[in-house]
Amino acid sequence: MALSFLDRDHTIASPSYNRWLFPPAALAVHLSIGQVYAFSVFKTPLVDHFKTDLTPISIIFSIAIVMLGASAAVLGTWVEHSGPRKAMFVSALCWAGGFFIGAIGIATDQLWLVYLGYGVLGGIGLGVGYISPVSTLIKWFPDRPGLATGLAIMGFGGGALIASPLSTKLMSLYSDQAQDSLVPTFVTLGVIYLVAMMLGSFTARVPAPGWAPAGYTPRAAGAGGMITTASVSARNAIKTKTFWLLWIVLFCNVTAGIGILEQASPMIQDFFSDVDAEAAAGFVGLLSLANMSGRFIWSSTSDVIGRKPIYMMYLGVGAVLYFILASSGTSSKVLFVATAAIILSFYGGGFATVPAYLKDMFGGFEVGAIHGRLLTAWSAAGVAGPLIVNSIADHRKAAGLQGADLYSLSLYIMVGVLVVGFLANLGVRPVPERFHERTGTAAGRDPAAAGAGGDVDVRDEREVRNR
Amino acid sequence: MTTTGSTTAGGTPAPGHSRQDAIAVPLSIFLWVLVAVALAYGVISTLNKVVQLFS
Repeated sequence: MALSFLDRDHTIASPSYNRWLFPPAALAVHLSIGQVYAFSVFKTPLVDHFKTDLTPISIIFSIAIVMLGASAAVLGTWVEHSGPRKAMFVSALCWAGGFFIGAIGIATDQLWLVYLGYGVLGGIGLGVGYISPVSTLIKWFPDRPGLATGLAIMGFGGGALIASPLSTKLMSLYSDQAQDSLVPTFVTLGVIYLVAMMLGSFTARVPAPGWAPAGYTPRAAGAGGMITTASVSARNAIKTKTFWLLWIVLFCNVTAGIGILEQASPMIQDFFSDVDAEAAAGFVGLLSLANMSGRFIWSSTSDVIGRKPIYMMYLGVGAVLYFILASSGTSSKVLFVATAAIILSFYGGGFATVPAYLKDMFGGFEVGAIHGRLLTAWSAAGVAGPLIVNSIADHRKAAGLQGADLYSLSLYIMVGVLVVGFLANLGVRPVPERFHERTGTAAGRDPAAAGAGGDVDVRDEREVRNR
Repeated sequence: MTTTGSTTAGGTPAPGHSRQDAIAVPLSIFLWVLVAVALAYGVISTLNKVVQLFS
């Protein structure tokens, strides 16, 4: 088969392969698909081009995010079994294809083609691309899964930082009128992302069966049983209380973060009358930096202090910070900015730490597929967060309120949302043994497990059963 | 960073993996550089905007 080089079997690295050669492949994919968070730079030019309202244009982004969650959930098991190279290859075709079809839609004035291209096809590329390196990173870095996944998922936050100025530059390069430069800009971005993601795909390697870093010994059911040595399949994982508690944790953390992120620019201008649109753009940029760096810093920290404690910090300290923002946010611009930045760093940290949390609770057997199913919480939060903040702000504006009063109620609601997440995290317990894969099943049924540390999982499971 | 060592037997790296490794190693190093440059571009562009917040 001409494309057999994409198969997992053809990507197994030699024992001497340096594991630090895999993260750039993961970063190339995540930095590319992270462009989605910079979609707002196209909103005004698209509105002008299609001569329509903001809502039909905003739907493009919404479709992409919904498709991200849906495709990660539906295709998670396929990604797990096919390996990172094939998944990244498919993701590259879908993501770049989304830009090309979107460009055709813009050129022919067919908005539905943009929905289909950037929204549906691109959204599938997002979902597959987002989860494609996660499982492999955990298998290359069983000793530091938080650091490894934090590094890759940081790329998703960083993608917008690159795409936003790059897109603006491309639009001004191609034409004086932004709406006239959309087609070449979309095509250029599609080509750039296709090349970057293909480079990532071709360099992706999985560790040989049974490979482990020298000197690494799996922790035996450590941290009070909060790090399992067993294996749980994706099919069984969604039957556990642990999975749904983690779903609530992620949902609450993302809902609270999106609440600020989505309204950051108007919010700071309403809180402080001396902040203009340009300075507000600086605030949005600062939040993006906090979001990106939080992904790496907090996820790496979780390798040291543990996954459950760090989520207690994200959600508990986050609730306190939201309360400060709601009650005293107007007292000082520095306090407002610093508080919001820390909250956004927790938002990013929550995204980046969750794969390692899943690995701790369910083992590495099908962690990518389980992660894919958990990302439906992101899609749900992507609807809930903005809905809460926007509808309350609209309602209060209609009631004659203005300034910080537009947001205080939604900020207090976010305190409640984070408290719910905190309680859900407190309830997270080790997965009962009846959901564990039987000895030998994990490696025997799944080539992914056999090719990527599956032996380690099964051997460890035997130790647990003998204990 | 120590990166080598098989803990259990049974794994068979892909046929021709040495040749693949020979291509993947320089390509991955190139990707590290590319990723670092792209991230630096993004961070510097963003910091320029952040300065306006406090100016």
